Amino acid sequence: MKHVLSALVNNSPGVTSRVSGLFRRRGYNIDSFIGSSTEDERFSRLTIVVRGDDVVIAQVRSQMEKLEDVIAIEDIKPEAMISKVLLFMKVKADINDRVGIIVVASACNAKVIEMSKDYMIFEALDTEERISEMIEIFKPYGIIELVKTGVVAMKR
Amino acid sequence: MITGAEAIVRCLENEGVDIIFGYPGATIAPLYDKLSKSSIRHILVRHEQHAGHEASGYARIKKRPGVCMTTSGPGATNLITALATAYMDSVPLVAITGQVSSDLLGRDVFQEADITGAAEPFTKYSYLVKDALDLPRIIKEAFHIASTGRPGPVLIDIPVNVQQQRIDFSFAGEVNLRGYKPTIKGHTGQIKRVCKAINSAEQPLICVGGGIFAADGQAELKRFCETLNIPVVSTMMGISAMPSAHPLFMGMLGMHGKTIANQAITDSDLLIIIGARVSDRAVLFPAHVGKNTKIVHIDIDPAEIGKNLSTLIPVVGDAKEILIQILEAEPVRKSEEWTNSLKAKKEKLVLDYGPRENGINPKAFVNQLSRSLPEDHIYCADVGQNQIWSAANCEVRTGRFLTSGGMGTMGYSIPAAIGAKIADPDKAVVAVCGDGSFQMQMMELATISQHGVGIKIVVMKNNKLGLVKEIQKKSYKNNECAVDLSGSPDIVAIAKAYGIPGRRIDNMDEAEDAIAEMLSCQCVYLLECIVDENESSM
Repeated sequence: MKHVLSALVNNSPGVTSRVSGLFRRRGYNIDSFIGSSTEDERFSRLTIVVRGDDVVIAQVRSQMEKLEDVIAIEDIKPEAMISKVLLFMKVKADINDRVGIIVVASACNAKVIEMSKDYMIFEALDTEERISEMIEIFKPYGIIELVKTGVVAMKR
Repeated sequence: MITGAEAIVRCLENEGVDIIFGYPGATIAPLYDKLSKSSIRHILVRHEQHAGHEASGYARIKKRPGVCMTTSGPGATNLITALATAYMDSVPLVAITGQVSSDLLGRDVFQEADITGAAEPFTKYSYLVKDALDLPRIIKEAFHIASTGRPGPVLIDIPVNVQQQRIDFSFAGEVNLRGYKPTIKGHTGQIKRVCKAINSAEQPLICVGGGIFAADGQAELKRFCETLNIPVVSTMMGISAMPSAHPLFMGMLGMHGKTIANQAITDSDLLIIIGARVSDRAVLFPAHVGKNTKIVHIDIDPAEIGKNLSTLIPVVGDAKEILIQILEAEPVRKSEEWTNSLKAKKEKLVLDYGPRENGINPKAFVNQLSRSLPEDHIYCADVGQNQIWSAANCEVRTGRFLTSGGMGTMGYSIPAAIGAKIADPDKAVVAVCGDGSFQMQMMELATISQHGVGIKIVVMKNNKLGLVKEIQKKSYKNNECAVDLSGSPDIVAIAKAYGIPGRRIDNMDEAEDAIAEMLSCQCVYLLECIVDENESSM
C-alpha cells in the first residue's frame, strides 16, 4: 500500500541525508522523495512516497518523529489530497510521426515545449497514475530521454 | 547447488586471495565454516581494527587488495578506523562483514549495525548483499573497484541468511561498471604543456606522494628526476619513493619536514606534484607557495586536482604512465644551477645525532636501525613523535616506509608490519612505535606469537604522549594534561608474557649491540628504548 508522507523539517544541511539514511537503514521502500524550501526559510517540506502495510508505515512515522530535525509528519489520505507529478519527455518525432504525436499529446494534456526536426520535448503535469499511462502511450514512438519529479502533495 | 558461503570462498579463491585477516562471530559463521575447508589461510587477530590494518600492510606490500573479515555489529564497527585509515591513504582493501538475517534488517536485533551506512564516508564503495546470486558479481566488482583507479577500501556486508542461501553457482563475467572508468593515459595536450613548463623552468621541483606506489612507478620517478636532473621532495606518504640518500632527494616537506624541502617549495618556479593531495600537514599555508610557482598536478583522481592548491596544469591519469609519456616527449632543462645549489645545501645539513643525558637519541637510533637492516627492509612507523623521528631520520634504500599518513591512526605500525611480513616473508620488517601507540596494539603480540610472524618491534618509551605534550607546550602555555602514561606496564615483560624475547636500552652506547641482537634473532623480537620526555620531535 502506497502512503504519501508530508514532513515539515528544519531547513539545515544534512537533514535530507538523515531522513534518507533512516529509510535505507531500516529497509523502507521509497517510491519518491522530494524536498523543497517553504514560505518560511527556517523549514523545508519533504514529500515522501513509501510502500508498506500499516505496521511498517506506523514504524516509519515513529522513527521519523524521533529525528530532532523533523517537526511534523502527516500521512495524507488519497481522498484528502491533491497531488501532481511533473514530467519532461523527449520523444522521437520525424516528419511522418509529428502530427500524430501532437494529437496524442494534446489528448494527454501534455504541452510541446520544444521541437526539432527529429524530436519533440513535452511537458506534462498530472497525477502519478496518468503520467505513468502517458509514458506507456509514448513508448512506441521512441522515448529518447525522460525525467520526472516525485509526487508533490498537499492536504485539501 | 552450493551455499552463498561456498560461493564467497570460490570467488575469493578465484581472485587469488591467499590470506584473510579476521575475527569470527555468529553472523559470519557460515562463511568461516566453508573458509576452513579452503586453501585460504586465516589469521586470527585480537581486535577487528587490526584485521583491517594487517590487510592494509599486506596490500601495500603485495600490491593487491588485502582482505579482512569480521562479524556484524561491534565486529563491523571496530573495523571502521581501519577502513578510514585505508581510505585516507588510498590502500586497496576488501572488507567482508557478516550481517543479521536480511528479514530482520532495520529492527535493531542483536549485533545489528548499519555498517554500510556507518562506513559510507570511509569506503570507496560498499555493498549490502540481499541475494546470494549477486555474490559472484559483487565480489568481482569489489576487487576491481578496490584495486583500480585511486585504490581504496570496499565493504561487502553479507547477511547470515544470504551466506546460507543455496544457489546455482557460476562465476561472474567481465566487470562493466557504467560511470566507473578511471583514466590511465595522460591527455597528450596536457603532456605537451608540462614539457613546455619544464623547458622554461629555472627552478623546477617534484613533490611525490603515496600515489607513486599505487602506480608502482618508483623506477620511473627515479629515471624521470635523474634524466631531467630535477630535485625531489616527498610527502609523508611519499617517503621511500626515492632512496633517502639519493642526491636529488631533499627529504619530506611540511610541518614536520625538512627546512630545505619547505624552502625548495617556496623557491621553486615549477612544482610537479605526483600522486599527492598536499594536505595541511604537507603545505601549511597553500597561499604562501611561491607566487611565481606554476603547479603541475599529476593524479589519477581528478577530484584531488585543485582541491588544496590551485593548479596550472592538471594531468589526470596513472603516475607511472604519465611520467613515461612526459619523458617520451623529451623535455629539456636549460639550467642546472638550482639543482646544484640544493644538492650542496643537502650536503651541509647538520644532523642532531649526538648522545643524550637521559635515554637514547631517537633520531640517531632510527637512523642506525634502518642502516643496520637489509637495504630492502620494510619500515613501519606509528603515529606520534616516533613517526616524525622515523620519517626524518630513517634511511630508506630500496625498501618501503609504511605509516598512517592521512589519518594518523595510532596503533597502525605493528598490525601493518604483520601484514607486510606475511605478504613478503623474506623481507626484514620493523615496526617502530611509542609507548602510547604500543598500548593501542599490544594485543596483536598474541597474533604474532600464534602465527609465528617474525617482525621486529621497537618501542620508544618516554612515559608521555610526546607529540601532544609538545603541542601543549607550544600552544597551551605548557599546560600539560592527560599526556602522562604512568601506569603503563613493563613492556619487555609484556613481550615475555607472550613468549617474545626482548631487551631494554637507555643509552646510545648499547644501541649497536641491541640492534645486532635483535636482527640476529630469527623470530620476533621487541626492543624497548628509553627516551627522555623532553626530547622534541624536530
